[in-house]
Amino acid sequence: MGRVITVTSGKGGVGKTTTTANIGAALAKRGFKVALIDADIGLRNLDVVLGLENRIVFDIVDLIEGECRLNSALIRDKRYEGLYLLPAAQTREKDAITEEQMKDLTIELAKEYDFVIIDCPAGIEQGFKNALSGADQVLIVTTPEVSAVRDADRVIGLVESRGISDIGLIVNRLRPELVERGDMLSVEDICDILAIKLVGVIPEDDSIVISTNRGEPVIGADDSKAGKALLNLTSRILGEDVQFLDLKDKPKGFFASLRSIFAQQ
Amino acid sequence: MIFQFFRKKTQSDSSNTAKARLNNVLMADRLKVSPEIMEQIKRKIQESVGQYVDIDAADIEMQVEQKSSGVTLSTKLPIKELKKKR
Repeated sequence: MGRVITVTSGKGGVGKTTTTANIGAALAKRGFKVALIDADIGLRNLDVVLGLENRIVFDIVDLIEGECRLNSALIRDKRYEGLYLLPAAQTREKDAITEEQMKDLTIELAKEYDFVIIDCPAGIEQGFKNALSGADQVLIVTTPEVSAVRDADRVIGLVESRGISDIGLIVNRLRPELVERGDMLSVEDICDILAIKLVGVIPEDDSIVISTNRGEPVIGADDSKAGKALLNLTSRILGEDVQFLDLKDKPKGFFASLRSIFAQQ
Repeated sequence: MIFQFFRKKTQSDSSNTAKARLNNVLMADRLKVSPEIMEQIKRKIQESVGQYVDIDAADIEMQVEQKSSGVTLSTKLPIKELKKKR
């Protein structure tokens, strides 16, 4: 039986879809068979982030309504062997699917795939409940902002109330230079407040914008800090003990190094 | 002084403001009570604890934490002066 992981956040725009796409690609790169489900019915986006938008024939609602078979609804990614996408329907409403149907679908997929990863819609309505219905593990994505952390806190409460205890935290779009000069919440601040296990810290990185423009996962880009952070995050999902990246830029001259030493006093 | 010299001049602390604001909204969210009620709780604590030790309602810090054992309300009551009556 494969593992079902739901990626959620409460607040929109924090990087759920990009994170989902990259974890999926990274797991496939490690040799696992992965099914990604876009649960954001009406506002599908995982297809474009992965560059698979031109290959959609059927979607999740077609599948659930019996219009097509499981294997014809899943799109195979040609770059990452073992990576498949089940796209959301674009012209339907979130209540086109029930929690029961979603749960059955994840059970069905988990028989065939090592990992089933669900990209949850923003918000805490029906789409959110559907996305959680079959989850073994939940990953909460947040950014170092008051609004995003507040929503993450609310979502953690809702996830726990459903009896799911395997919850991991991903801090996305961190800007180490702002944290250092005291103008951004630090990872420690966020962990203190949310009190769940940290599985990943992803720095703000131009390479994400570039990869997303091209419809390619950033884990495939050379020399990308965000890509490296996402690969490490994936290793932690697999239970490996990986050190967190030192995201700070190295001080540039003699005086800068001295300053960085004294700044810690 | 040498520390001051080497420390960057532009030390800002808007992250502390963010943290304090976050703590406030989360306290209200988690307890499902409004910030006014939180202020009332502080006043009541001041009234009752203040009979024995000298504390100021404005100094009381309250924090709601989500722990594995459940939601916990912790308060910090800085004492101004020990009252000399016994």
